[in-house]
Amino acid sequence: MTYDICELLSAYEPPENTSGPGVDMARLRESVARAVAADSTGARRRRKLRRTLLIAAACAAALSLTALAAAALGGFDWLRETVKPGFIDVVEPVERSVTVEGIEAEAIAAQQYGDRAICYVSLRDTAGQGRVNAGTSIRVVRTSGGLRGDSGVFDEGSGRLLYEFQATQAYGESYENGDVTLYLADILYNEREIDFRCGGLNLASAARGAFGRLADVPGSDGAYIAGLSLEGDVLSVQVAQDMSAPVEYRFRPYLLGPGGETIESDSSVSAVTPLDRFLRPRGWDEGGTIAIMQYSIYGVEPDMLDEYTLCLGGMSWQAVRGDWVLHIDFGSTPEPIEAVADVSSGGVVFEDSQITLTPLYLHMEGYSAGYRFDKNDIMALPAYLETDGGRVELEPDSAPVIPMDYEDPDGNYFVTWNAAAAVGLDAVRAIVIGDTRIETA
Amino acid sequence: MDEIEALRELQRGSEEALSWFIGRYAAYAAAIIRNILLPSLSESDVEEALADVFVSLWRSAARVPAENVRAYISAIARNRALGALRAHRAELPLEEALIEVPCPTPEQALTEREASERALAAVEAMPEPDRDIFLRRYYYYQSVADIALALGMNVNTVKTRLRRGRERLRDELMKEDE
Repeated sequence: MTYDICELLSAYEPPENTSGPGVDMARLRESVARAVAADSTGARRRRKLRRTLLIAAACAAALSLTALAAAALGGFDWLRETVKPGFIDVVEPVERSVTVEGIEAEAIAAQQYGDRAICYVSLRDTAGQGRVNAGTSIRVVRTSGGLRGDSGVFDEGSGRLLYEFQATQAYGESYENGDVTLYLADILYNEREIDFRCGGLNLASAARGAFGRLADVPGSDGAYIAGLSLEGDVLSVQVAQDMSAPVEYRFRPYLLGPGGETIESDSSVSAVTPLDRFLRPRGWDEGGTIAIMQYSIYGVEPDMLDEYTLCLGGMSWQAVRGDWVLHIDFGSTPEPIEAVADVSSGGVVFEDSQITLTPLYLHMEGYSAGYRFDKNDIMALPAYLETDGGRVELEPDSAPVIPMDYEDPDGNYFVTWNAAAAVGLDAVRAIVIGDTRIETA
Repeated sequence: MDEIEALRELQRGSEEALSWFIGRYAAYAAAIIRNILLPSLSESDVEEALADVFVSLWRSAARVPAENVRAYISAIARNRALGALRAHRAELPLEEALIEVPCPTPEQALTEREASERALAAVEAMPEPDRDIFLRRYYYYQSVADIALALGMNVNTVKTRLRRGRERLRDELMKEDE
């Protein structure tokens, strides 16, 4: 018997936690109210779909672009003179590129500081087919460690789509005198809405469960219905798509009734929908080129299934399938500012904290030494720099590390704040964390 | 308005009741979604998924179990977040999340509910930080690298503890009924 652990845990109920970032309630209520109003007028709610890369709240500096004719400039000169990103002063030229199917990915500039590597990467359509534009995105960007990046900024003058990535090594490891490799897979462009009708599909077969290549999705490229199952009034639908096809889909199935009424799908609410043993596990087919997604449609009348038509709404993108691998070697870099201090904040003291300041970030790490502090103490720690040019605010990183095993007195904590633009270390006079001021000059 | 009354009104189509549930559970649902989507996706994606949770609650009000609304909302939140994450095609699906459990006869196979209950019991019995790591990976779909970074461990340590957790879970699923 095969079990999917993620499915088995679907009935897990996380405890309520009052800490953490707040919710913009006004905006939430407005979004929900709009959707509810659209429901009541019969209009189908259109989802705002954005193609974005991995994003962290405190990452990249704003990229300002001008209309200069930058096509003649080399990558680094273009970056420095046209784009002028916030970290331009602390990166070195790399100008290493790889071209697949006429799309060039170039690592223009990069630098490493401790466990962080910052890289500027651009895409350009060298075949002149216009596939790289403001609406283009990369399906997957990976590196061996963590990765954060912006959604890309397009410069019409040069035809480049520019990304700023910051790759992070695992705790305790460093990029110093090492390298980083970025893996980019599949370029997507030309986003469109879709609405396919699977009129020839026998939905009544769902009652006994069916899987396999049940029916091709008419009008699609490589998509087919891979499974149907019915449990009470819940119809489960599996849709497969060929990931080697030059089209990428994001489906939103719905049922169309004979009178034009629709029943929208919902993401599986597994707490009320039992695991369906008739469907194959969600995921990748053998060979890794077929992706299978599962959807649930609620409130169907089992006796009326043969009167419904399964439809697939959603979005599609044209896809340039391929892998772009960018390898960047680093040499030596300026030394960071380092200090050891007892950091206090609101009565909590972090003894012998090791402080590290680079042009990209500020680190604070240490041992809990048997002292158990609340996660909120770490997450609420403010930090800024006093510099010759004034106060420089720092943004807390999304994942502070705190001791989780309260039986282990040697738990480590590891906190990071990110800079919005390059920090000139020579101009820093003091680091302020919580109530503690650490002079550096 | 208490929760039972709010649910009753919601099922009657009361937008005021929907607003009550937003006020009651927005932070809770947001925390679940953030644990899944960040840092891979953006706060904007979190907001979109969060709004979807309450729209879904509105549309499926008739199916909400009165005895545990919070569980229903946590399930919607997780699945909405998972939908957004899958569209991003991160490292999903989790291939190592599929485990094989020998089953002498089909009649002796656990029902879905039994398997789920045993899995939850196995997770509750795990010591920390194994339990935290296991939930981060298999409930919140966090990457091994992000888990390692968050907990100050190296990647291999996280992988070892996950494997230990899967073995514990398999043992629990293989136990015969007493």
